Amino acid sequence: MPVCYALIDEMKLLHDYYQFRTIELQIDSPGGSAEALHHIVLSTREWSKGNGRVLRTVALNQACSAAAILLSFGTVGHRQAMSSSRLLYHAIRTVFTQNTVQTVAQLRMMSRNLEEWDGKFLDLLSEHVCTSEKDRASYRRMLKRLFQKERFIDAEEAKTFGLIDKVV
Amino acid sequence: MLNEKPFPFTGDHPHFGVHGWRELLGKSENIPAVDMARHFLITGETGSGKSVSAVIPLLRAALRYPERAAYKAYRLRAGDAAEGQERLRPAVLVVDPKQELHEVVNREAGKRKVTTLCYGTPGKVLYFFEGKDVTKMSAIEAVDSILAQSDFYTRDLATTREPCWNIQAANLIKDFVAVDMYLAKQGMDKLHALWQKVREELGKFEEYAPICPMLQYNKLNYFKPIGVLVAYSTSTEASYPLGVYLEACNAMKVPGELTARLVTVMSLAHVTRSSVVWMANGILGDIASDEFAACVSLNPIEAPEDSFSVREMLDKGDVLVYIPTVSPSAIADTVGRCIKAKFMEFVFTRTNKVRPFGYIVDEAHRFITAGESDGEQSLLDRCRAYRTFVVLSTQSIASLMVRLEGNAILGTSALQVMLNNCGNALYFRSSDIATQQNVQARIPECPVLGRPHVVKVRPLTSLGTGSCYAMRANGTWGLFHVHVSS
Repeated sequence: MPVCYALIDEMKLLHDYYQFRTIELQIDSPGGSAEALHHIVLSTREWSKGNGRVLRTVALNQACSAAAILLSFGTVGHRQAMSSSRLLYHAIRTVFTQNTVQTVAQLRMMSRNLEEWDGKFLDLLSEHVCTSEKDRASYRRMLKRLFQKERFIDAEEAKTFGLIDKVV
Repeated sequence: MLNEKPFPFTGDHPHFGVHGWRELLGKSENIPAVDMARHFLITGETGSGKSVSAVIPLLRAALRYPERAAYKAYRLRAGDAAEGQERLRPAVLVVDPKQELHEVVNREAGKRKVTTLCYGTPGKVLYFFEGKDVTKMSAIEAVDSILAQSDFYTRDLATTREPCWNIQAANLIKDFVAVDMYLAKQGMDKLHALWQKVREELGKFEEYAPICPMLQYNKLNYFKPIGVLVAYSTSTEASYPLGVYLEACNAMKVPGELTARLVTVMSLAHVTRSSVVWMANGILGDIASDEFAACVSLNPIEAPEDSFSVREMLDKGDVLVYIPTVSPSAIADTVGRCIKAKFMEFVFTRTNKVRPFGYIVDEAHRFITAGESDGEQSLLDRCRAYRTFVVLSTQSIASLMVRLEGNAILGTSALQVMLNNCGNALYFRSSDIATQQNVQARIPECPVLGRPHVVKVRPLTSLGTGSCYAMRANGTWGLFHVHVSS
């Protein structure tokens, strides 16, 4: 979480004081927490909407899980990945520490939570990428299938899914 | 001489609509009248878009003021106390060296009368002593006010190590004027007779024959005969022209106290006299030229027939466009300063206190002065209270310094006062270090400790055409792209 606050502060400073209209975010990360990602996405909506500002995201070597989704939340038209980069999109997941004891009810609760988080991101992402209501549902279904497979994809493939716009 | 009570804009007054500055002013694209009267400073190098995207929109806003919608809103706010729409139309003085603005003026002026004063072209002239009682004016006062506008005199006086020559030269000119004014009071025929006598006497000598036709009282170019006479007053054997002039003065019964100094100059050693005469030549070269006389009448004895009235312009809300030469010329710039001085004199004492006055000057570094009464540094501050807004457009702060540093006493501090009094400032692309420092001083530091200042990160040299750092009188600042109209 501290990293995400620092990132948001930096972007605010760059826009409000240094008056940059275009910021390039270079991503090379194995991933991170869903809460932090959610916070970043919500606080940088001005950027991703692209009214007067451009957030250009570039994936360098690898962008996995949370980092990959952050990559796709750049301003549409300005999301890039290197041709050699590896991207991993997957559904949300949680880590069990060893020797945890859980009841069925607790597990059900947990699965509901995870599904909810998953839905949140799928909604946000399909809303971000698709302009029309009509496309949104089919795009969301396609993303859900991709996320469930949980496999590495390359930049070209991500471009066909509409998760990035340009391979560099 | 000031009027007893200032009459500034209030918050109620209709605002100025500057079209194309959406990014800077927000959706409504308007500047409150109070902020407009805090003046504009626009700097930027050639091609940075300062004329097209800043000066012209501001000029258009000044000429269209008050716009209908804004005026209606003002009527609602002010009720019975509202001032008439026609009475609120500003009188505008435009200095247009690059000849880009006069088209805009002709297009936007509407019913108002537009007078164009083109350098070197005969037409209507400005009467320098308008509003003054010529019969009561002394020669010293008249010549002093003329010399205050002369670039040659003021700058040289400030920089030279031996100002005695300049002062002597000025005194020489004062004496000629004093003699003429004395004779004019006795009757104009006496004045004509004096010059007639000088001409006849000098006509006897072959070497002076070519200049004789010029030696006569000239209503349009008053200083011309004096200039010619002074130019020929260095001859070694005897100072014939000056001697003849003095003899003629004696014959006309001019009191000795008026000519005493001329006699002293004649008795000086040749080298000394040359210094004085050459200095006077320089001064008269400015003010006795035909180009100067085509724009400004400096005649302290009688007013020209074909002159426009500055006082009337300020009262009726007319527009004056002055077009100097495209290339910088000392005389053209002096004319510009004369016009400015005249307008500024009447701004504070005008009768119509409702009407605003706008002074919009392109290439301001050519026309700026640091004089005590008419220098920009004292005006910008005072004029705010008199509904006057000034738009100064210049290349860079260094070029303003070049113009002002001649005035060693006031120079740099006058510049600082000017900059401080321009509440609104637009800085376009520029590689000038003084401008960069000024921007850095005016924009606040980074709110995060230890981070570099924004001007260091995004220097003025990195701005594109139409982009500028803008600081407004209401305290906002930013990096904006102002619209470049086609």
